[in-house]
Amino acid sequence: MTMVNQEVSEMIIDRTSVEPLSFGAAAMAGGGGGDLYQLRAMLDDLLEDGATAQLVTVDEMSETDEAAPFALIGTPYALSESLLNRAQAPHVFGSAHLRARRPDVIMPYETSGVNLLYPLAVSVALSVPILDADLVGQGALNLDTTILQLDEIDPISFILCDSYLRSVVVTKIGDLSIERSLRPIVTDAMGSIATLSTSSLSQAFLRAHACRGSVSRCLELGELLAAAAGADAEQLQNSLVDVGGRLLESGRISERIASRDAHGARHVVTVAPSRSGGAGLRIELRDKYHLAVQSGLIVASMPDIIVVLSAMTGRPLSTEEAIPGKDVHVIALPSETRWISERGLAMAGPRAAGYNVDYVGFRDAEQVMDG
Amino acid sequence: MIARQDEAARPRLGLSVTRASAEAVLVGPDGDVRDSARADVRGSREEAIGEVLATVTANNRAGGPSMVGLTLSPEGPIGSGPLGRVGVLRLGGAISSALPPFAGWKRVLAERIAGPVRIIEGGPRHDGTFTEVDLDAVEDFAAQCMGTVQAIAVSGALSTVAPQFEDAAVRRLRELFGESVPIVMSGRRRGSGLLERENTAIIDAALVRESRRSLRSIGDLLRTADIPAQVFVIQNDGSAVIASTLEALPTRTLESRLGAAVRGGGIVSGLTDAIIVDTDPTAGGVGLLRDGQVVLESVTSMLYGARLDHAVPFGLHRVESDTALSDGLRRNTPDSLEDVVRQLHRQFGALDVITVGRGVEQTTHGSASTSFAAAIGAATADVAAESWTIVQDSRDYDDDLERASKEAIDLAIAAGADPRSVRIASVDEFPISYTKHISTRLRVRVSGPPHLSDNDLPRVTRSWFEPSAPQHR
Repeated sequence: MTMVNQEVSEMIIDRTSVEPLSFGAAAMAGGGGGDLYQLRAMLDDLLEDGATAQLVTVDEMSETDEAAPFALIGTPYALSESLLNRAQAPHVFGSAHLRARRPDVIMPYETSGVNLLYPLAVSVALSVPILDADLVGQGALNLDTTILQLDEIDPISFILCDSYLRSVVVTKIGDLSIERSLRPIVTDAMGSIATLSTSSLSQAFLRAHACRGSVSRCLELGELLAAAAGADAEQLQNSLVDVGGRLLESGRISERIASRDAHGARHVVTVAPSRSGGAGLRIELRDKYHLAVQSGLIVASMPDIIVVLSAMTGRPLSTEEAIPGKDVHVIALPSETRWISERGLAMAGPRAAGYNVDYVGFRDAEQVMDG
Repeated sequence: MIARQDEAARPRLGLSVTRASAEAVLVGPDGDVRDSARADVRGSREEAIGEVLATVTANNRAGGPSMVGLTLSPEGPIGSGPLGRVGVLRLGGAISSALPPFAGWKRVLAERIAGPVRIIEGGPRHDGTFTEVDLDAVEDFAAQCMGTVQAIAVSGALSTVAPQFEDAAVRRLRELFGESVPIVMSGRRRGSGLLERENTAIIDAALVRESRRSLRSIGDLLRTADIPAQVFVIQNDGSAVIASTLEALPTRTLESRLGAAVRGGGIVSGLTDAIIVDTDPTAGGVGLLRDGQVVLESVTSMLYGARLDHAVPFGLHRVESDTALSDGLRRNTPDSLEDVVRQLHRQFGALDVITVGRGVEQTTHGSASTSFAAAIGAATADVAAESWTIVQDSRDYDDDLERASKEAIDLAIAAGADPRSVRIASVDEFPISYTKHISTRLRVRVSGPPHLSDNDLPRVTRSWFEPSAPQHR
C-alpha cells in the first residue's frame, strides 16, 4: 500500500479485538450472518503470535490505492462441513486472471457476521490493511441492497470463487438483480458457499459511496455488548443509550412458527415477557429479524437492526438460534442513516422483504407508545 | 455374598467420584436414600472408592444394587491431566485446508495433544461425486504416527451422511496398527459440523486410555465389593449410558458431576426450577434446573477454544477452574459462587438456591440427602440418546420424524435403556437460514429407565472405535 503523504494508521486489530468484534458483527447482522465459530477459530490462529490487522480509513488510502471487497455468499450452514480452501482468498485477491493488479486494501462487503470476520482473517493472512468501511453499513438484506444499488453504480465485475478454486466473473449490464444472478450459481454449482468479491474499487469510488467507519462502529458496539453480558434488563437499557439503541423486551421464546410465501421461508417468534407488566413481543423474521410487534403495534422494523441477545450469555443469537425455551433480550439499533430515505426504504424497508407494512423507526415507535 | 432379591425392589447405587472425594448412596425404588458414605481422596481415588463401597455394602447385605450410576470426573484438569498424544487424519483435502485440525484451540492444550496431523484427499464432494481415499497417504500418516502417538483421531467432511470413507481409512490404519492404538472416528454424531466432530474425536482419543483405565479400575472395585450390577456412566447432561458405550467418549463425562448434581438437587428439594450450587471444590459449580431439566448451554460446548459436539450444563464449572470451560458464563465473570448466583438471579429472577455437596448437612437447611445430591442424581438417572435429521419444507416430515425417532430409540437401547419403557422426551427444531426451502434440523431425544435384568442386558452392537458398515462403492 502506497499511503502517499498519509500518516500510517495507528488503529490495529489484534487478538483481544476478536471477541468484541464477533459480538459486534453478530449484532450488526440482525440475526443473519451465520455461525461465527469457524471464522473466529481462523482469526484466533492467525492472530496467535501477536500478528495484527491494520485498520485504515478511506482518507488514509492514496489516490492510486485500490480496495477489494470480500464476503462469503451462500448458506452459512455449508461452512460447517466445507471449511474453505487456504488458497481461496489469495486467489480471489491477487490472481492475474481475476484482476489487472493486486489490490492494496481489503474491505468487508458488509459489516455483518462472518462477512466481517472473513475479510479480517484475509487481511491478516495476506498482510494487507483492512478498510474501516463497507458497502452496506450493516448486514445486507441481500446482494441487491448495498450502496451499489442505492447509489445506482456498479463495479466492473463481480467475482465468485469456490473451495475448488473454480471462479466465475460476472459483468452486469443493465438493470439485473445481482442477488438472482449470483446466488443460484453458488447454490447449484459451488457447493452452497463461495467467496464473493468485485473488481477493485478506487479511493475516489469509496470516498463517494462507501459507508465509512463501519468496522470501528462494530467494534464499539461489540465492546458494549460484551461488557453488558450478564446484565439485567435495566442495566442493558442504560448501556444501549450510548449507541442509540433501545431494549424492546426481555423474556423467553415461547413459540416459533414457520410458513412460506413468495419471498421464501418466513418465521414468527413469540417472546413471552419475563417482567410483570411486560407486553411480550412478536418477531417476524426470514434470514434476519425484520419486524418487532408489541400489542399489535410495530415497535421496530427493518432496516433498523433488531437483535436478539441470549439472556444467559449476552451473545447475539442468529435467527437459527431463536428457538423456544431461550431466555432473551430483544433490542433495536439504528440503521445506517442512508437507508432511512425514500429510496433506501423502498429497497431495504419492510415491503422489500414482503411485509405489507411501512417502516416504523423504533425511536418513533417509542414516542407513539409513550405518548 | 449379597443376597439377591426381586429386581424392582433392589436399590440403585449412585457413585460420584471427583478429585476431592468419592460419594456413594443407595437409593430405593421409591426414591428413599437407604445409605450413604463419603471418603476424601487422600492417596489414590481407588482407595476412596473402595472405602465408600465397603461401607454401603457392609450396611446393606440384604439386597445388592440393581445398577450403578457413576459420575467420573477427570483425574486432573484437562490442561494438565493425563492426556495421550494424538495423530489426526482428516479426509477432506484442500477444500478444508483453511481451518486445519486444532484450529482455534488454545496452545496450552493443542501442544500437549497434537501428534502428526494430515489432511488427505477422500470423501464426498458437494456435487454428489466423491474422491477415493488416498490410502498411500494414510500409510504415510501411519508411518509418522508409529511409536509417537497413544491414539489416532480420524475425521471426514460429510462423514455423518457418508461414513464409508472414514471407515476405509480406519480399516487401513487398523491393518497397520492392530489393536495397539485406539482409533476414534468423528463421523457418528449428526447435528454437528466437521470441526466439532473432529475436536471431540481428538480429545476423546487423548483421554481414551485414561478413561478405559478408570472404568476398568472401578469395575474391579465393584467386583471386589461383590456388586455385580451393570455400570451406567452419567453424561454431561445428567443422563446415563452403559459404561462400555461411553468409555471411548470421555468428553461426554467431563461435566457429569455437575449434570448429576443439578438433577439430584431437583430431586432432593422437590423443585423443578432452581439454581443448584455444588460445593465440590474440584468438579462442582453452579447449574440451572428449569422445568425439571438440566439447562444446557446449547447443542455444543467449548473446551480450551475447541468447540465440541455436545452440550454441557449451563453455569459455572469447577473442572477447569484455570480457564473458561464454558461459553455460558463469560470469562470476565467473577468466579465466586456467590457472585455467580447473584448474576443468575439478575438474569433469571428469584429462583430458589439449593446448595448440595460436602458440608451442606451441617447448615440450617441442609440434610444428608442434599449433601449427596450428585450421587442421588447419578443413581436415579434415565438413559438418553438423540438422533438428528434434516427436513425440508415439511415434506415427508412425519416420515423423517419417525425415522429419526426409531434411530434414537435404537441408540438408547444400545446405550442401556429398557426397550419396554423408552420414550420420546423431546423433539426440537433448529432452523437453517439462507436456503430456498424451509429447512430444519430435527433433533429427537429419547429416554427411559436403565435395563436392569441380569439375564438379557442389551448387547452394545455399535462400536465407536470400528467402522460401522462395509464400504459401499
